[in-house]
Amino acid sequence: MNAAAAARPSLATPPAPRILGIGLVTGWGKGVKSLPVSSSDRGEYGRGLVTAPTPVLDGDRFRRATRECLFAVAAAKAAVADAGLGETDLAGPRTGILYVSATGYAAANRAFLEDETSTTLHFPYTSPSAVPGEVTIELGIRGTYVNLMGGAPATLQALWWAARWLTEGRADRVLVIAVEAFHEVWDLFRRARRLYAGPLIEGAACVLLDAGEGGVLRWASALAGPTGAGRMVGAVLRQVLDGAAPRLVWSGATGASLERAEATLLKERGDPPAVPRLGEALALGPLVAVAQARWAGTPGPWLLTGTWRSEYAALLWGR
Amino acid sequence: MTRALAPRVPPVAITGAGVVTAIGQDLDSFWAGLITGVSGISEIEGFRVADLRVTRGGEIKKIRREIPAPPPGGAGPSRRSPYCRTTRFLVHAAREALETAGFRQGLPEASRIAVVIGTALGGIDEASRALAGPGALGPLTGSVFDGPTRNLARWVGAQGPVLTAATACASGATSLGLAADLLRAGQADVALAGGADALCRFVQRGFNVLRSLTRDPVRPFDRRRNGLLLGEGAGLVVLERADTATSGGRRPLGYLLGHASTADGAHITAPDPEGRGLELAVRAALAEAGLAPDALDLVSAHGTGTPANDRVETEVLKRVLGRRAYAVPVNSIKAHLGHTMGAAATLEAIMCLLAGRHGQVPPTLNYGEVDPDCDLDCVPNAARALRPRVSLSTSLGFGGCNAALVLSAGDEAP
Repeated sequence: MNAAAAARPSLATPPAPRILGIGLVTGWGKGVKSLPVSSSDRGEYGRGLVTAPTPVLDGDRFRRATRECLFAVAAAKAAVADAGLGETDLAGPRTGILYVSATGYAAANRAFLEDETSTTLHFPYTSPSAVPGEVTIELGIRGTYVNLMGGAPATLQALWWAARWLTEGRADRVLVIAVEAFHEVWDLFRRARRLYAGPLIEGAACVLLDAGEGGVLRWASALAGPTGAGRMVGAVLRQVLDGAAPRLVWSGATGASLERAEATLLKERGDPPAVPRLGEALALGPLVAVAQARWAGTPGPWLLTGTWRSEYAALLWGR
Repeated sequence: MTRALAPRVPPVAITGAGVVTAIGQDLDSFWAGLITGVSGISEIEGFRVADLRVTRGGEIKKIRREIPAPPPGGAGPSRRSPYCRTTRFLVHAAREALETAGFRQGLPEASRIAVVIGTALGGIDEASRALAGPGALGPLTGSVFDGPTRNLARWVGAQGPVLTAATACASGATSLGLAADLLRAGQADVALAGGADALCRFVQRGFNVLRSLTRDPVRPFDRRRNGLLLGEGAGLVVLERADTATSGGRRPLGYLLGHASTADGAHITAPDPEGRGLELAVRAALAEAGLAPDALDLVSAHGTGTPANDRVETEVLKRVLGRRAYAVPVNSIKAHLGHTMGAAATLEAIMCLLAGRHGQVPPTLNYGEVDPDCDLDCVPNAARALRPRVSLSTSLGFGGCNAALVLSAGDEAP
């Protein structure tokens, strides 16, 4: 390793970024204030899906855009406004963007598969990259750009990557955007309801970050192997916590054995208060949790965890 | 000039590679096909195309039937989760990549292995079959976008970070960059990274509707170029930190020196007419590598054969390379393979390494008429004796995705 690289802050544990603004669009409304305060207050008993209304945006260009694109643009604009910035302030190469989704392509793909009369305009929107693409066009962003497909663990990775980009100077600001859309494919997801905890929550969240919060951001993940869930959870959490005691926890873990293992280990760390989990929001979940944690005003470190298809991941954010 | 988008980073060794393409399903046949100008373009037989305007592509006619045995700790397909075509490409390429990396006797600790795959389509081919019938939920849930990546991770027995990058047709470059970053940060000791996509009716029909496909031969950089043809396959590399890559006397194929992925912020399907995002990616990848443009011996262009792409890439390369622009060979292998989407950038990176190893640069096929807007040296029609040490590979994709890789060939760390 060259001397310059050795002198840089650790890439494994970059400094925690600062939240400049958060945009949130869900079936409960816009912004964190619209969210239910607890899972028992969410008001969707009997419903398996909390549908989000399609955002209405100005601009002729959006007549072609899919619902998931509109979610993303609406959330990004809300985050920019929440940060007190103008819509042209992020234009250019110094803003990075990370997009995450588990299902953000499904509705468009299904529509294109099932309707062979689809027009020219539709096919490009089957690409997951169309969703952040619309955000970059709308805000004029030309910086570092990565899209990750997966559930909550992918979002935790994206937050870690954002912190790295800021630390390394690849970007002055980074948008992390997560979108999930279930309405058009609800019949398919309904068949797999046993795989999800609580109602499915669709919509979008965007967190606008810059450098300078202090403390660290530590991420780890693991795929389930023959060693079992308990050991996997223990290994990931021990690596992420590294002796720290989180002051707030959001658990996106699904599955009895994972949840048990997580609860046992957190009990040893003082059983910190939990941000309520309002349902299953896949990649959207961790960003909704960040919005809730920020709104609660609890100082860090925050611990966020999540699962997706045999993967368990955790992120420690802040001092 | 804006501030550099990237700091200089340590090189990451590429210790193994594996390919599955329409011109060859291992490195030797792939390389022989590239050098001798074999085209994998043919009439598509794997799905219904009779109603489409363009019915040809770089289709793999016969993928090896047997699934290679997974390494110790890995697991193959199950009745509940059979492998889709994309996964089959991936595991065949992975077997070769691990073998060439010298991991015949077993892999490092599972928790230290990362799997990072780029794809433009994910499991859509399998999803289309699952949706068409009343079948069980298993195949559908297994065909989600990152399904093939997860299948590969299980086959390898990896328990470290698993990522699916979806920067459209730049995905195979983005995945290599992300994997290298994971290694540099100490999140893994070995990364299996690359890209894969399967040709299917979904994407053939989509590009057909867009009228991006040509009925003529694919002619990158030629004045007559009027579109692309799709292909399929997988390209995978094994990445390791340079300090561990030569353990046990192993000799790396080369090094990944720099990477950048950037946004255009211009259009969903077309490249920025000025190529600003691509230029930023190229300059940032060079900055990561700590190299000036003068160091480049070869450019592997995205070179799709569409009027806009090839013109924009040429303009960007002229701006970046300056007076050396006409002295650096710029090839495209899309006429050999078709546009293999998520696999393309990784296959092109592997081509750059093999060119350095064999001392030959594969040609750009079907070239006949000079376009004043695309007048760089595109290595027309015949391979050239040249041993490129440092190469640049460029990629572009839907959603305004751009990516650039800077690679060095040879087993000595730069």
